[in-house]
Amino acid sequence: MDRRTLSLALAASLTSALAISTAPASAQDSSRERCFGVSLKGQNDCAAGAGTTCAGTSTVDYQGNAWKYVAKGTCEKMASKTSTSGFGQLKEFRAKRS
Amino acid sequence: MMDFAAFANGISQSDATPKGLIASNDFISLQRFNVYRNNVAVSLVEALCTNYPVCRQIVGDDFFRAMARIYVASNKPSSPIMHLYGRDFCNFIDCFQPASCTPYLADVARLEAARVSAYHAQDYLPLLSADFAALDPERLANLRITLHPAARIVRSNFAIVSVWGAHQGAQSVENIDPFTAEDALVTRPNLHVETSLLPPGGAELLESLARGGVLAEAAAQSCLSSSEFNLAQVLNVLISTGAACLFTYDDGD
Amino acid sequence: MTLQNPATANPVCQSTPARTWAGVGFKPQHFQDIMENAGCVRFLEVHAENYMGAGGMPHRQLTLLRERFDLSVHGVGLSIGGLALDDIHLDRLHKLVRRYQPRWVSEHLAWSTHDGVFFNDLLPLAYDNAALTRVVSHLGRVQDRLGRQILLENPSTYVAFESSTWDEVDFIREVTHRAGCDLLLDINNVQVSCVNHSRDPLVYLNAFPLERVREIHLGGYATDDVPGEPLLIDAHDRPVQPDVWRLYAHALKIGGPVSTLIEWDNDVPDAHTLFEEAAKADALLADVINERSAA
Repeated sequence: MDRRTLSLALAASLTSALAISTAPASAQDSSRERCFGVSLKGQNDCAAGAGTTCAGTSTVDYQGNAWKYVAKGTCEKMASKTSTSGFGQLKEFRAKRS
Repeated sequence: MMDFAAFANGISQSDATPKGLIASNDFISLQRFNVYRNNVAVSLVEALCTNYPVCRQIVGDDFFRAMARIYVASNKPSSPIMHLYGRDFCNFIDCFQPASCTPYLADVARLEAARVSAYHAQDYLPLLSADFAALDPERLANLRITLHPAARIVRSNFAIVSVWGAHQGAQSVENIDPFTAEDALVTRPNLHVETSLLPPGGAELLESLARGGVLAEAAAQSCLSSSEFNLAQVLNVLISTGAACLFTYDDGD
Repeated sequence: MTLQNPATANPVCQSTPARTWAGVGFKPQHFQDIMENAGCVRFLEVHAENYMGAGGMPHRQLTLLRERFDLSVHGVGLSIGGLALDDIHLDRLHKLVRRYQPRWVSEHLAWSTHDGVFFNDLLPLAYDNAALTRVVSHLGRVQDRLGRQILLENPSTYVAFESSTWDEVDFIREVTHRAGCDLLLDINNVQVSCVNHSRDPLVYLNAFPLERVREIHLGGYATDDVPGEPLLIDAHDRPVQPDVWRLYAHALKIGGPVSTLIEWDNDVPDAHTLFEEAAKADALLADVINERSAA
């Protein structure tokens, strides 16, 4: 296949792509969500990451604690489907003193 | 002359309080110095909490902070720019045995790091669907598409987009099977960071384009790597997420 | 029935020809409130390091804020008191200052980087001659690079060093004199450091070179409840404490009105709570300005 024929084949795909996505490529285009599942903005757009501080803290929490931790978050709900995979078991760990 | 090394060492090691502090007794001296130890540790753990909010929700606050403290103890920042801190936290999580119960956690961390990085990336206007529509169909094979400075691809053997999305309220966490491979595309077409699911072969196509490959080569590679690859689907995501910012042709003559 | 939320009512703000104003530390979550109605807030301070990314929302917001408010760029990562000054970081600061042309640029009399490691805290210095030479030299390089004077802030400290041969206030005065910089007086830091080192904050303030102070910081401290001698933490997590307000009024009385910023960095409240703190500072500033103009 020569480059021109190849180009025209690719152009067919581009045309279909543009047909699915008729709206301008703004963030508000929701058609892709119907076609390809999740497409999301961050909630409240909290993607800034950590900022600096010039303050100290009165929260005392600098030493590795000696008690055991078990992951107790949303992972418990997500683990259920795959309990047979061996990953469902939550493990505990003992943090070492730093 | 002040011994900076002793002070710095004392911050990181609980049994190395520096000498020469003015205090009425050793207890007070230790108590005062501990304020600095605490400030450093807590502020860095807080930074990780801020940079990895979904990871924190996945394992819970206690577990996350305990894990973060261990990371912080041996991974101090090298830059005062805190949104750069902990970029390699994902690698730490990979090897952190207690987190092996959540094998998807490290990849969710990669996705969250990509989002922070995209948030601060260089401003650039993304190409719109009209720009794509105006392309010369006879030269598409030789088209190079430069990805937007904020575009990030995160590939995973786990359902990182669904897991991340469930923590934004997109769907219920209970309905997620994290053990399904998903590739994520992070973009920032304007000021807001978006996370999108890449269709099969999409990551390969975008990575080929990012390496400077022309569209024909990139599409051929994606075809080889994924039997479900559909160029129209991938181009649609590329267009609608604002992941492209520049066209050039490599006509070779 | 008329419903009015007192927090959103316009406070009466002083207006001064000398641009001696009240301000707050800017937090991105307050952007909308600030643009709609910032109350008495007339200037905003940002941490330099939070605007050292390439683009995106932080720069968009700062550009819009800059059109309406005076800006203060407050560095927390230059490590002026450290052994080595990071020229790459100084270049970043220069770029930021050149872009936004803030009214004030400030840094701390402290160190935070040693041997390539950034500790993310403002660590204390032994006040000896070596430190004096080093700090003066670093300030000179910073001011040369930025092409302007900067303000140096007095620190909150929890330890002091046997090897210090200078009193902190004397050290600061000498640095100011030799480096030709001006000062940022953090009155909360005065209270915190003085209590922690059993000194009288009034004596500290009376000795402080107030004629060089171009900006004042106020923030809330926490009291550590461990047994032993009193220990205050510069936590910036609550309203300004009554004793700090009294010290502030005293500083204004003896030194004259100076633009004043409320710092609230942890447990950040809603914008209106922050604006109310600024309004208190604004009212005290107005009192001093009126007294002075009446005299």
